[in-house]
Amino acid sequence: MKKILERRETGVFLILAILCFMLSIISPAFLSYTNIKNVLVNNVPLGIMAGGMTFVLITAGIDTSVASQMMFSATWISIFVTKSPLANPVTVLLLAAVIGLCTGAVNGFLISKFSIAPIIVTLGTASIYRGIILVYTNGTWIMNLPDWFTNLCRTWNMIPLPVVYTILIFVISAYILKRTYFGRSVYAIGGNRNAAKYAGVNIGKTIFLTYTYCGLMCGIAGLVIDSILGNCQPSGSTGWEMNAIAAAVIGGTNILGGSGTMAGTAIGVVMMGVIENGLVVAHIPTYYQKLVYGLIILVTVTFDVIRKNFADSRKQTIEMD
Amino acid sequence: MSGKSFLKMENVSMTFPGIKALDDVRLEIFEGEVHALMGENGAGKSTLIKIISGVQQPDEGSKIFLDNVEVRFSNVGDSIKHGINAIQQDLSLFPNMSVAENIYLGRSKNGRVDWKECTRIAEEAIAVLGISMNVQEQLGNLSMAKQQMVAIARAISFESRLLIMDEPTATLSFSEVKMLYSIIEKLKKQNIAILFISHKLNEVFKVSDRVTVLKDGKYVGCRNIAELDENKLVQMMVGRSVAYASLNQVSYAGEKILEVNDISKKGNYKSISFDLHKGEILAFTGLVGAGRSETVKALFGLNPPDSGEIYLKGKKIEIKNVSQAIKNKIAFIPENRHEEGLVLAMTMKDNITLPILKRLMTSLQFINRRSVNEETENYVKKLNIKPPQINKLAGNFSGGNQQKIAVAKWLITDPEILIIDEPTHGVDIASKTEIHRLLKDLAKEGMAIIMVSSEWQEVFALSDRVIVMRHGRIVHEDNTATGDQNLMMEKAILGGK
Amino acid sequence: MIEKLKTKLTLNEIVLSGAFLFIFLIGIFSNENFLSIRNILSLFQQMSEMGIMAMGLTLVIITGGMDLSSGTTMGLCAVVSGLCLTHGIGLALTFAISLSVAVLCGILNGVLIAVVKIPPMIATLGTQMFFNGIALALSQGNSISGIPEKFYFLGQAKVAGVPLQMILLFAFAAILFIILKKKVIGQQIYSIGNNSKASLYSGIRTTRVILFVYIVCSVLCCFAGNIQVSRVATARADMGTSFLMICISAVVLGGTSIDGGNGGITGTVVGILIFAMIGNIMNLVGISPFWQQLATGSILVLVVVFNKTIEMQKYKIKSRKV
Repeated sequence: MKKILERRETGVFLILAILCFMLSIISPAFLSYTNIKNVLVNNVPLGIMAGGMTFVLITAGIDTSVASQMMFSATWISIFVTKSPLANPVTVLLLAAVIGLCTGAVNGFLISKFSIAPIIVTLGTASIYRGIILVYTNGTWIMNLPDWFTNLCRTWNMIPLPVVYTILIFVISAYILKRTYFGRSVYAIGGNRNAAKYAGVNIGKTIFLTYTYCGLMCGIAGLVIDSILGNCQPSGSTGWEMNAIAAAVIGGTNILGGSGTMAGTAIGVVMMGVIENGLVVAHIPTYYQKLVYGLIILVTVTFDVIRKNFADSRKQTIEMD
Repeated sequence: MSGKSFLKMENVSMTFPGIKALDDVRLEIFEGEVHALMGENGAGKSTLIKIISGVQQPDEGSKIFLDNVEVRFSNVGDSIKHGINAIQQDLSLFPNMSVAENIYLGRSKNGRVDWKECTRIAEEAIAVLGISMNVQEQLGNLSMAKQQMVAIARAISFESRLLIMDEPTATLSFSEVKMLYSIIEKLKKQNIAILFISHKLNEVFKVSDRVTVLKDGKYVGCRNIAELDENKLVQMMVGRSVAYASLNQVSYAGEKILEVNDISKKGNYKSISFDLHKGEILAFTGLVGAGRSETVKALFGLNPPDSGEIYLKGKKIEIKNVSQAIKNKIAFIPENRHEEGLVLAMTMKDNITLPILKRLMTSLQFINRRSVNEETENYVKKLNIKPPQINKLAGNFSGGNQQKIAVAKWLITDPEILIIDEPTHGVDIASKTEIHRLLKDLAKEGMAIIMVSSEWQEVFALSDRVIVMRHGRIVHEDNTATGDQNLMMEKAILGGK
Repeated sequence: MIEKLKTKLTLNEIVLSGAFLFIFLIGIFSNENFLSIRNILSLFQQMSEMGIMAMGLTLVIITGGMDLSSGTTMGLCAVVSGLCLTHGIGLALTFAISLSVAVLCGILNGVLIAVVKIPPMIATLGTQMFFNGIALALSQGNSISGIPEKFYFLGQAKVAGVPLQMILLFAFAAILFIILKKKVIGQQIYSIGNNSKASLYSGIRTTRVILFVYIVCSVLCCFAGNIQVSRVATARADMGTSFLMICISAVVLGGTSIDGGNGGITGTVVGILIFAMIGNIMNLVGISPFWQQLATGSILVLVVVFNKTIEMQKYKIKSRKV
C-alpha cells in the first residue's frame, strides 16, 4: 500500500481524478459517454506515439521526429488504401509496421553508429520524412479513405476499437519494459550508461532497437490516425512530438533517463486529453492549451531536477563515524 | 591452492594517445587463489583490470589465455561469459533500480526477465554474504557501504571463476572489512579465484596468497606472499626508481597565514582545525574516502562548511564560492586534470591565462594577445614546460607537462595559498621529482602550500607537516622530519585503534 | 599550395567552402538572374532574419547548450510588437517592450539551465511551448495585421540600396565575432563549452556567462521577429517556429560542434547563406518549397554524419600512431 502511495503515477492519477471531478461540476456533459469516448479516441494516435517516446526517454534520449514518422506512415498508408487492390486489414497493418520500423531504424542507426546527439539526428530526419511526403503529395490532402479502412477504428457495441488497440499496445509495451532483457537494458542505459556497459549490455544494439521500436509505434499511430480521421493531411500534426514528450513527462518519465512506466504515460496522455477537453468545457479558448502544457512541463521538470539535486547534495560523500 | 592456471596474460601492452599505460605486462592467476595486484597510483592496475574484464582491448600482440586456451575479449559480455566478474571502483550500479535487479541484470533467458527468479537469485546472493537486506529497496537509497555489498553480491551471483575487486575496502568500516575477509575465504573454498587490488599492505598480507607488482605500467614481479614482508613488498612497489629526494630537511615556514577553526559539513568533514604558515608545505593524507579532498575544497569555496570559522592573516573571511577564494589569493589545482583542471581542447596559452584574462586587456577592453603570449612564455620558462609551444593544445602534452600547465595556470594568479590535490597523480617519475622541486621552490618564495596526497613517500619527502584524516576527521598531526612514519600510517589505516 | 592551405584550414572549413562553391555554381548555371544585384540583395534580405537567430544559437551551442525556444521567442516578441503597434504605442516604446520580453525569456531559460541545472534541451523544450502558449494567448490565435507603416522601415527600408536588415545582420555578425574572438567573455564561452567544471575551478562565473548567452540569444530572436513583422506587415505567434530547424542545421553546418566548445560566427553565416541559396535557387527555378525542407534535413544529417566519421577516423589514426 505504502509503495503504491509513493509512486509518481499515483499522484498524477489523483490530480487527474480531481480534475475530472471539477470538470464534471462545471459541466455535467463532461462525464457523458460521448464526451469521454471522444477524449479517449482523439488522443489515441498521440498515446501510441507517447508510448514509443517513453522507451526513448528512459534511455535518456529524445525523438523529435515522432510526428513526422507518424505522418510519413499515414501518408503512404492512405495512398496505399486508396490506390492499391492489395489493400486489406492485414497488408495495411504490415505496411504500417514496416514503414515505422524503417524510419525508426534509420534514426537508431544514425544515433547508435555515429554516436550523434539524438536530438540532432531526429531534428534532421523529422524534416527528411516530412519533406519526402510533402514533395510526393505536393501538400495535398488524401481524402475519402474507403469504409472498410475507417471501420477499423469504429465504435463497436459502445466499445471504441482504437482505445482497445491502444490498451493492447500499452500492455505489450509494458510487458517488454518490465519483463524482457531488452526492456531492462533500456532502464539500465538510462540509469547508468557505464555500468550498463560493464554489466555486458550491448549499448549500441539496445539504443538502435529503442528507436526502432519507437518508429514502429509511430508507424502504427499513422495507421490509426488515418482510420480515425478518414483522410490524411501530410502537413498535419506538426508539433505533436512536444505533446508526446509532455505526456510521458507528466506521467512520471524522468527526462534525464532511468525511470518511467507505460502506466504513467497512459495517465499522462489521458491527462493531456482531459485538459484540452476541459478548456473547451470551461469555455477557455483552445490556444491557452499550449500555455498550460508548457507550464506543466516546466513545473514538473523543475520539481524533478530540484528534488534530484537536493537528494544529491544530502548524499554522504564519505562515511563518517 | 590447486596451482592450476586459470588466467594467464603475456606481453600485454596498452597505448593511449600520449601515454603507454601498460608495457609488456604479464599476470597469471591460479584457480581458487587470492592474487593481489599492487602498485602505486598510475602503475597501470586499473588499465589491466579493464583489459581482463573486456572494457578495453589491449594492443596487438598481447596474449590472454584462459585454461591455457588463447582468448580475446571484445566486450564485457565476453569476459562475463568466461566467468570473469569485476567490481569496479565506482561500483557501476544502477541507482534507479532495485537491489534485486542490480544483482540480476545481465542475465537473459531467451530475452525474458523472470522477476521471481530475480528476487530468488538476489536473496541467495545476499545470503551468501551473510547480511540482511531488503532486495526490493531502490539502490539509490542505500549507503555506500551497502551498495558495495550489493556490487559484491552481484559479482558472485554469476557463475564466477575469477572475481576482480578494485579497492573493495576503501569505503567500508572496520567490521564490514572483516565481513569481506570472511566472504573472500568462502569464495576461495568454492575454488573461485580473486584478483584483489588494494593500497593497504596489511590487507594484502592478510588475505592474499600471491602478489603481482606493477610499476609505471611495467611488470616488476610476482611472489608468494609468504616470501615477502612489508618492507620487501614496498621495495618492489617503489622499486628501482627509489624514494624521492627528501626536501623537507629545510623548512621555510614563517608567520601564520591561515587559521581554520572547527569547520564541519554534514557528510563531508567534521571539526577540522589547523593552522597554515607562509612557506610551509602542509600535507593532508589518509585513505581514499577519508575526506581529504572534501576538506581542502572547503577552502576554495567548492564545498563550503556548515559551521566553523576561517581566518586569513587574522581576519575572519567567508569563502562561499570560487570567486571569493580567488579574491583571497587562494588557488586550487584539482586532482583530475582532464575533468576539472584543464580545458584540453584549448591551447596552452589560453589555459594558462584563463583565470587572469581580465587583467590582460588593451585600453579598449579587448584581450591583449601580446601580453597573453608574454605571460605564458614567462611561465613556460619558469616551469620548464616541454615542448615550449604556447599554441599547442593542452590535451597534446604529456601528463607531467599537463600538470605543469595546471600549476602555471594558478601561479599566474599570484596566490598566497596554493592547494594542490594529488600533485603527481599519473605523472612519470622524472616529472614527479621536478614538480616536487617546483613546489618546494614556491614554498621558499613564501607561498603556503596545502597538498593532498595518498602517496606516503611523497608526503614524507616533500611536506613539512602532515595531517592524517580518517572518516572525515583529523586523527593525527605531526612533523614529517621528526615524526614516526609507521605511527602515521597506522593512524590512517586503523584510526589509532 | 594545397598543402599549405590544408594546414591553414580545418577540414570542416574546406568542406564548408566546397559546399558553398558547389551550390553557388549550381545557382549560376541554373538561372541567369541568380547573379543579378537585385537577386543577391533579396537573398540577403530573406536570410537576415534566420541569420540573426542562428548567430544567437551559435553562442548558446558553443557553451554546450541548446535553445529550442528560440523560434517561439521570436514569435512571442513579434506578437508583442504587433500588439503594441496596433494599440498605438510609439516605436521606441514598442522596441523597448519587445526587447524586455526577450530579456525575460532569456533570463527564464538561463535560470532554468544555469541555476536550477535542468539540461538545456529539456528546459528549452518546456519554455518553447510556454512562450508559444503566451504568444497564442496574447494574439488569441490570430495573426495581427494593420501594423502602422512607420514601422515598415526595419524590414523594407534600404540604405544606399542595401536592405536595412542586411546591414543589421552584418553588424550583429561583426559584434558577435569580436565578442567571441577578442573579449574575455568570448574566451569564457568557449572554455565553458569545452569543460564547464574546469572553467568553474578557474574562477569563471559560469552561471553569469550562461545567463548572458541565453539573454543574447533571445534578444537576437527578438530582432529577427521584429524584422519579419516589419517585412510582412503582420505578426503571428508561429512566426519563428519553422526557423529553428534550419538555424540549428546552419550552425552545425558552419562547423560549430553540437557538443560545444568550438565553432564561430563566420561558419554560421556561411551555413545560413548556403540554405538561403538553396531556397533562392529553388524559387528561381520554380521547384516546390517542400523540396527545401527535404534538402535542409538531408544536409544536416549528412554533415553531422560526415563530421563524426572523420572524427572517429582521426581518433583511430592517433591511437595507432602513439
